[in-house]
Amino acid sequence: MKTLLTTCLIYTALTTVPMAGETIKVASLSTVLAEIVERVGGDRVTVTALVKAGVDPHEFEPKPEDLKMVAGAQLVLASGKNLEGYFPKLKESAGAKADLIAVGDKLPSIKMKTSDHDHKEHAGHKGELIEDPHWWQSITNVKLATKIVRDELIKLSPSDTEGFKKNADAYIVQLNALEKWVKLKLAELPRDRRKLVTSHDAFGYFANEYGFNIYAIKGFSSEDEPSSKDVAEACVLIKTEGVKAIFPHSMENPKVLREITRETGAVLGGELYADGLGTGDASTYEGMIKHNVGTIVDALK
Amino acid sequence: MRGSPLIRVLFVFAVLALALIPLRHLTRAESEAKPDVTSKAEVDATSVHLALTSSSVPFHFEIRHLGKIIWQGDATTAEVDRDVTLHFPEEGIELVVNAKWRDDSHESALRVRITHDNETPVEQTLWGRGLADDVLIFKKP
Repeated sequence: MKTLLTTCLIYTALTTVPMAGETIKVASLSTVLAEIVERVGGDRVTVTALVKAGVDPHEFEPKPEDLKMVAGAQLVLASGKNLEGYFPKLKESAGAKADLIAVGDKLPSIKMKTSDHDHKEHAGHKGELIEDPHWWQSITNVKLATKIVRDELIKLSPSDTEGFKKNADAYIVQLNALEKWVKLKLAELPRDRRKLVTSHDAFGYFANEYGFNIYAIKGFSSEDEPSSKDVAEACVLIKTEGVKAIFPHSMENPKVLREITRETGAVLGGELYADGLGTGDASTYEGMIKHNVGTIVDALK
Repeated sequence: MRGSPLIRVLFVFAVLALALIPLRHLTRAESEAKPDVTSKAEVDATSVHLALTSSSVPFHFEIRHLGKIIWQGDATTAEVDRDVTLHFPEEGIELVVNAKWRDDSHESALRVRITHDNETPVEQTLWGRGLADDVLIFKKP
C-alpha cells in the first residue's frame, strides 16, 4: 500500500511539475492572460492561446483539439466571472493534472444588468444583475491578475521564483506607465463629456475608474430587428445627454446606426476593443488600451 | 416656344440661376445649423481662483486644463495665486500639474487649491523629490 501511494505521488509530481530545463505548458482562454503569462514566465513557459486575437470569447466553444491541449497543460488560465460557460467541461478534460485558474474570480467585481440579447453564458432574466466579466478593461485589475499569475507559476516552479518576480515587477512598472498615460489623455476630455454610448456593455470597469457614464443601447446587433420604440429611446437618450459620438460593436446593424446618427447628429466614434486583444496596434494590452482611450477622447472632445 | 434658340437657352439659364439663390441659402443655413459643441464650454466658462503653496522654494510649475496650459511660471515665494477662466461642470475638473523644485534632497509638496464661485475651496496635494507630475481631480464641494 505504501509503495502504491509513493508511486502515485511520484507520478503526480512528474506530470504536474516541470523537470529542470523543461518549460511550463500553459493554455490560456484569454488573450490578455496569454500576454501576462508570457511576460511573467518569459522563457520558462510555453503558452498556447486557445482564444485567439479577434475571436469573441463570448462565442468561443472549445473543440476536441483544444481539450487535448488542455489535457497536456500544467496550467490553464481562464477569464472567469462566468465568461466561460464551458469551464466545467474543461475541468473534466484536464483531470487532476493541470491547475485550472479562473483569474477573474479572484478580482474585485462590479455588476451589470442583463438585457434581452446577452450572450448565452449570461442568460438570465432581463434586468437581472450579474457579475461583469470584462475585468481586463481596468488596468488595476490587470496588475492584480499579473500577481495572481506570478504566484501560480511560482507554485509550479519554485526554483524560478526570483525570475518570475522580476518579470512581474517589470510588467507592472509598464502597466503603471500605461495608467499614467491614460490619466493624462483623459484629462483632455471634460468630465461632463464622459458619456460612453455603446451597444456592448463591456466598459463598466473602465467607466468606474475614470468617471464615465455608460449608456448601453439595446438590440442593435446585426441579428436583431429593434423596434421603432427602441430606436426612438436611443435617440432621445443621445440627444438629452448631448452625446457627440456613439461607439458600435463590430457586429452592429448598419441600417439602424445610420438612422440614429442621422436623427441625433452624433457620429460613429470608431471601433473599440471590448473583449480582448486585437490585431496590429491593438495586439498588445498596452496597444489595445491606447487605441480605445485615444478613440474615445478624440471622438468625444 | 418660338424665337431664337439663343434667347431660349439664355431663358433656361436665367431660370436655373434664379433657382440657385434659395438653394444656396438652404445649404448655407444647414452648415451653420449645428453649433460647435466646444463653444458651449467656452460660454459656460467661469472665473476660478487658483492658489499654489509649495513646501520648498524656488519652484517651477505648469498647470494644464483640457490639454492647454492655463498657468505656468517660476515662483520664489511659497505661495502664488491668480484667477483663471475655465469651464467647471458639476462633474468636476481635472488639472495636469507639473512641479520642479531646485532642492531635490528631500520630498517636496505642492498644494493646489481652487475656489470657485465663493464656494468652499477644494484642494489636492502633489508630492515629489525634485519633480512631480500628476492629474489632480477637483470636484465641487
